[in-house]
Amino acid sequence: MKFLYFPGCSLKNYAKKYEDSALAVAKHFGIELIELKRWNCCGVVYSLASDSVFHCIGAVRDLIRAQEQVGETGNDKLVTLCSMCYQVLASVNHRLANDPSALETLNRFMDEEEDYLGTIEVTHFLTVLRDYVGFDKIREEVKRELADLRVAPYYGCMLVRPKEVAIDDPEEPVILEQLIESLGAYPIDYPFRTECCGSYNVVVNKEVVKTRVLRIISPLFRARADIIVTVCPLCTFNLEYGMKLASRQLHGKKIPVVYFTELLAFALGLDNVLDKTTLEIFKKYM
Amino acid sequence: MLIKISSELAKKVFEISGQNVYACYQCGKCSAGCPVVNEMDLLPNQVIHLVQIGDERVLNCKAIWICAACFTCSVRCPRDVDLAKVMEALRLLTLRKGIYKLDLRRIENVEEYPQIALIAATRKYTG
Repeated sequence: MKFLYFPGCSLKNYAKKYEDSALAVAKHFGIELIELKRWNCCGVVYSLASDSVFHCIGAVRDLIRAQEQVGETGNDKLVTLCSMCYQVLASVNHRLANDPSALETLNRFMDEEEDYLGTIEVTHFLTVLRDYVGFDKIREEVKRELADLRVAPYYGCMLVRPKEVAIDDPEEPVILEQLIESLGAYPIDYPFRTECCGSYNVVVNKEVVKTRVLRIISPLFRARADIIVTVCPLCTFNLEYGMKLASRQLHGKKIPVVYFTELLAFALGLDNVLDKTTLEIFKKYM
Repeated sequence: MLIKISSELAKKVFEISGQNVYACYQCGKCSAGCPVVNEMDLLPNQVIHLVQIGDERVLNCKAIWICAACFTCSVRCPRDVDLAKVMEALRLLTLRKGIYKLDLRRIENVEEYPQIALIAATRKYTG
């Protein structure tokens, strides 16, 4: 099965290990993720102004690039990994599907590209795993005994809100828990798995992120979490950075943070795509 | 009773965001669930209330800049007011005047941050 794939900036830099592990996992299950030949920054945050389409331009360009390549996969899906990219591309797509005049304005503005027809479907790799591989198939392929591994799923915001683009229930998502269970590990139930990490506040007001992270991870020590599993490069940065900022309050304690694809790659025995730090985290389950 | 958008500020907010703040009946669910409410100088429902009564001092509050558009209030509002969009409209009323809340040259240890954080901040705090 083939899908078009939009990486986004983080996946090529800060979150390279997210991409490396995801591509390896996809390949393992016979899924080919074809990176768009040309792509640009999606904009990271979706503009909430309904009187302007200016901030949609970057995302629409990416959707057009996908449209140009749909012939290569035989389906209209564009797969993302970064949850901020997912939310921006999906939100812009949703808006244009419901606002023909916005679509017309954008198409008229962009004279070098072909018109966007609104036919691309933006999706997330987690959804692909659930719908095209299936958790049962994943369970069959697990190579490691992970029954003792206690995993805290952290959704953050962008995959589960707003409703129009959510990949799961905004209040009670289950997709990460189902994935963790299919790997034979134990998903920890805690109240803050969909609460905001503080996002870009980290740049102007670190204290917000520090307070947020302390709150989010507060139940996880007593719950004996071994790792936190994430879907978003910014959540990952903030969780790690927040724990560093709060090291005094935490008495130096930390919970390792890994992308869900790294956990998956480890469970499947794809150690060669994991970096040293990640392998060190998983060491005792080898 | 016909709900009229009576304050000038509420009209501006409606034009930018498509949100009618008079649909809000001040139940406070947004403030109860807001994850960054502790950092705010106004509760999210108070932000709406000031817009309802047309008090432009709301444009100078800290709360609208702390809101990171996590959409928790938006998915929970029993009156379907998308407060994340209202907050954005209030930010834009300042940003569209060319008044920015972030100077990239003044970020300390800028190299510590991944571009996802820097670009997101630039998009939310500048025009």
